[in-house]
Amino acid sequence: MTAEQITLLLTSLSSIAAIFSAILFLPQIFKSFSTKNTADNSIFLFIITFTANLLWIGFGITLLLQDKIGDAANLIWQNSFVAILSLILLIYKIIHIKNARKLHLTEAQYCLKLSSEKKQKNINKKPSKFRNFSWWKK
Amino acid sequence: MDLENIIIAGLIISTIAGVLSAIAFIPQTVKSLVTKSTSGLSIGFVIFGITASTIWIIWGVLSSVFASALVNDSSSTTNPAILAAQTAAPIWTNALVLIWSLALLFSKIRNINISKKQNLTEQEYSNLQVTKIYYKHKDKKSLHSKIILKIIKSSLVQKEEL
Repeated sequence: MTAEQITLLLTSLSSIAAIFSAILFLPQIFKSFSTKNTADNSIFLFIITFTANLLWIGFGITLLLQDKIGDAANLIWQNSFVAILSLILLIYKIIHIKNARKLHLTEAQYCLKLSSEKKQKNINKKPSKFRNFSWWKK
Repeated sequence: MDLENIIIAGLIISTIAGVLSAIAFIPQTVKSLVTKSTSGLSIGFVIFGITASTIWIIWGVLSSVFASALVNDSSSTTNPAILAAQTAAPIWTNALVLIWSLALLFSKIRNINISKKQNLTEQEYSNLQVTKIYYKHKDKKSLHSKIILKIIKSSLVQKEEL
């Protein structure tokens, strides 16, 4: 293989991997928001991921200072996307923990209460097509 | 700042970030394995994690294999230690992520299968499991039991005897 082919292969591999790491938290967000269950997620997962992604953005800025603009741009968009998604999940989980504490419930009891309230609300509604398409709820 | 300092600062930041990314899945895996309750965890999340880390490992291995073939004009450092650290980092961080997310996938699939066999939803099965673990450790005073009770505290639904 020539050097150009190798470079092309490596670039395409890294962009596929970057896409997968970027959308990592999307199914989790869909699931958490549709079932209103955050009790099984560890809060440290979100905290550590958020911190790590902020640091990766910092690393991207050092690459910018070295004029490696292509690498830096990839690193920064990917990690800021993941940081935003994990921040959303972190805030959602913290809200649930606080509300559960106010009602003197455990977090799982509070989530169950929320989801049963949602079921009661939707009991007369026709199930939408979108709701049947629910592979992420598994 | 001159260029070498920026590169070293970047290396330090990326090492810390790599360590954090590598250990990010550990709390989730420990929690899922201890509580045996994974109903709130999306299987897409776990599968994407496995796919991403596998591709990153392949990428890391290929780029260190072909490092000599690529005469890289853009690489602005000639220090061999820094270059070695830069190429090794994606391999070991993603290998750790891969191991922990495989454990997560294993526990998720096991829970789905067992709950199907018992004709329960996954959520009902996990609630039963957490309650069982709670009763096993409730009155014990060892450190082990205390840690387990602390981990399962947020997943506990039923405090009454079954």
